[in-house]
Amino acid sequence: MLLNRLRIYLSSVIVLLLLSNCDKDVSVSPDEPQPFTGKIIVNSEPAGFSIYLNNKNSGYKTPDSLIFMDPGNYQITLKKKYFRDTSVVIYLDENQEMLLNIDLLKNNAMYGSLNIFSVPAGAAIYINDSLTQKVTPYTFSHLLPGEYNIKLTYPQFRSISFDVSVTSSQTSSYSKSLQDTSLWVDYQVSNSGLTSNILSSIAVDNFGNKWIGSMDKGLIKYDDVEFVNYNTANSGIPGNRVLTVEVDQFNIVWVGTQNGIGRFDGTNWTVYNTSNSALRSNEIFTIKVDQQNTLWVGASTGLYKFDSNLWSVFNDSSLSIWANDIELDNGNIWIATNDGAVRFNNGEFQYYVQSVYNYPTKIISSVAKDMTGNIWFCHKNSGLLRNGVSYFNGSQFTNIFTGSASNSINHISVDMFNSKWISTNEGLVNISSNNSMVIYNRSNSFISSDLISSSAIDKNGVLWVTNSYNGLNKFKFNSN
Amino acid sequence: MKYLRIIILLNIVLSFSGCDDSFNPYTDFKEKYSLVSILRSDTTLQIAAITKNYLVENNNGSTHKLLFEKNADIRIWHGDSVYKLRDTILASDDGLDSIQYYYTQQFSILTGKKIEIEALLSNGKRLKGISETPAKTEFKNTSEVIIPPIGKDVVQIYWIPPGIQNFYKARLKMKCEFVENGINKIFYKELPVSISVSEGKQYAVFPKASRDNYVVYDLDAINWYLHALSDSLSEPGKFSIHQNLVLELLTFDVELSRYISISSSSIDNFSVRFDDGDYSNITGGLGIFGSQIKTNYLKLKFIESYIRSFKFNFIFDLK
Repeated sequence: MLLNRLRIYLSSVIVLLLLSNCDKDVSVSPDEPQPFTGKIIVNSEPAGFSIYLNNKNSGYKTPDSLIFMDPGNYQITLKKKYFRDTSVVIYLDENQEMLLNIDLLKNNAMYGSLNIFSVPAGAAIYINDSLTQKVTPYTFSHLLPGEYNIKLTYPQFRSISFDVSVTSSQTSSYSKSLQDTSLWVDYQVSNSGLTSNILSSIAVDNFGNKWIGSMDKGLIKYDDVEFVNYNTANSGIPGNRVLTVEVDQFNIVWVGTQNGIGRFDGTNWTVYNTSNSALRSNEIFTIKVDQQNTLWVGASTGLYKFDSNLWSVFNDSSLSIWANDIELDNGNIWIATNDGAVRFNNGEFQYYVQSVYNYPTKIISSVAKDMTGNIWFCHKNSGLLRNGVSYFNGSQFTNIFTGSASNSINHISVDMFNSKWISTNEGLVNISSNNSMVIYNRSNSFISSDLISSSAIDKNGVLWVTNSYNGLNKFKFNSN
Repeated sequence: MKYLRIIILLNIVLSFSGCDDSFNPYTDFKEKYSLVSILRSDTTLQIAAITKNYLVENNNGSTHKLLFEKNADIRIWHGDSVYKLRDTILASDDGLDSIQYYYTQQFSILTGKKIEIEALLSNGKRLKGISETPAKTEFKNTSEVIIPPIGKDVVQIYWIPPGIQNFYKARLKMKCEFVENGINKIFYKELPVSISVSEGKQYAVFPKASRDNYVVYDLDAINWYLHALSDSLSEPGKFSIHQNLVLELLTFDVELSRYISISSSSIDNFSVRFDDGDYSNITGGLGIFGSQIKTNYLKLKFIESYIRSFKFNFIFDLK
């Protein structure tokens, strides 16, 4: 009996033992396989190609390695903008390290061609600032795909620079027209270092530097190489709205602004305004310096003289002088006012009344003396009277009308051939010494606009023209 | 007697050769890697984290710990583009606390794009996840435009579901301004969707993530919240509330929606909780990879008299 019970107990224990030993096998998940250590090293010539693995961008660029790769077939594709795709199919053995050197330059189909045309033909071609010794039209072949900068130059034409792209197995064509600068050159904010297109006035110094007044960015100097801007943020100029510019015999630059007068000696600025001078207003319309280095200033509050650090104010008690422009004529100062032509001499004003002398209108914007001694005036519309130009020969006025009745005559300058250059809102008007007239406007010339604010002639006989809204023009009217 | 000796001996043997090893829950422990990354549409900062389970022996025995996995190569594919993530450490000001993560600041996700993540660990293991960003979510014209609504005591916002499996989470925010120590502070406050009462005290309830393509705000809850805010201020007239409100709607992609559905975890703009036992869509490990698109509903406006009735100042907004 006892033996049977023992047998049963023993059997139970063995069964229990067997069962309990199985727990471990049930709870264990299968071991994860170790990663393969296959490796594909991808090099290319040139480098920098995106590596696609089985048509999927791996995010790697050549040269780089694809690591921990499973064995198997792979399609490796190299891609880069403008280049043809290049694919290779490989088989990677278990834990194999494979080196792929792909020389894309050996494949002629990888290269592209570039056609360059220009008007006029014969322009010299630069690629990435290197002169190619080729002229347009020309086709460059066997070029590596990518982006290039092309520059075309041609004598008497404005050089042009532009970006091109070259694609594998393709011919890219570019055609450009070069701007003829044999007569006219335009300088805009968009094509030069000019800092403003809104220009009011210009003067040329003894070195040939152009000093340009802008209505929003202060004074601009142009030395035929680069533009330098003087504004209230970087200099002592009293204001950014420049109304007039003058250069004296010592190359001192005088600017009239809405905030007074600025004197610039090339290094330092000196400011004259209502707080430190006899000026009664800060809005300065005109400045002229005579041979004795006396400064004459025109403003809405009269005529001012600055001599040996002494200021004098001249005005008329009965008719307030509003001096838009002045011209020095030996001992006479001719004043363009809103009340007509005025001559100032020895402290006395002499009025040339419009109703007596019959010049176009009494609102005179500009005055200049020609080489024969005539005094020329620019007249703006006034009431029912229309604009025009007049000149005074010492005894009478002669009237000349140009453009429409709504034209605005803004400024006059005289060149060494005794031609008068009239800046108007309908173009630039040339009145020759024999009074024949030519109008330069957008329809018959390369002038930038019809709204002309002023002009000045340099020693080389080149006319510099400021546009009211379209920058600066250089007119080589004497080139022929 | 002979059998008795055998039994005793067997008992002793069994006692020492028991199944302790099999019953020890740590003996079969294997390192597990988890990868978490939720891509977002409202920022170019996309982050991912890889952690590794490991065992720590201490006085209480062995416990699991998570350790940031360094030196992984993580790439995210978004449509045809691929971005590599860099690792960084963000430390608290006192330097006592820090978090590590991988990040890129190069893209924000667009709607309806395939996305994929692959992390190649330094030991060669790969963790992969794929998903697709939600399609564009558009609000229905039947949604409310003014608070309080006319003739209703609820504010309902509806949207057209971009899919049948997406979860959403809404946040209704009002823009506030308050001058404190001379400085004008501009901030947003989220409005509750309802009120709960616990032990006689009322609490604001905010929308949870759900599959509903609408959210309904109880006007009483908004009233209660504005009253409470006004009562908490000594001079509510110096507290300004803007006319325009914004309802931010997060639309979660299908993978993230499954995770939310299964784990019932809360999820917000900035974080996703991940536990070992939760849903995973990462092959080669555990974790979640998904995306969320934020869409703003900007047609809701407060009525001036309503805001002023709580003694707040009211600021009209431009269109």
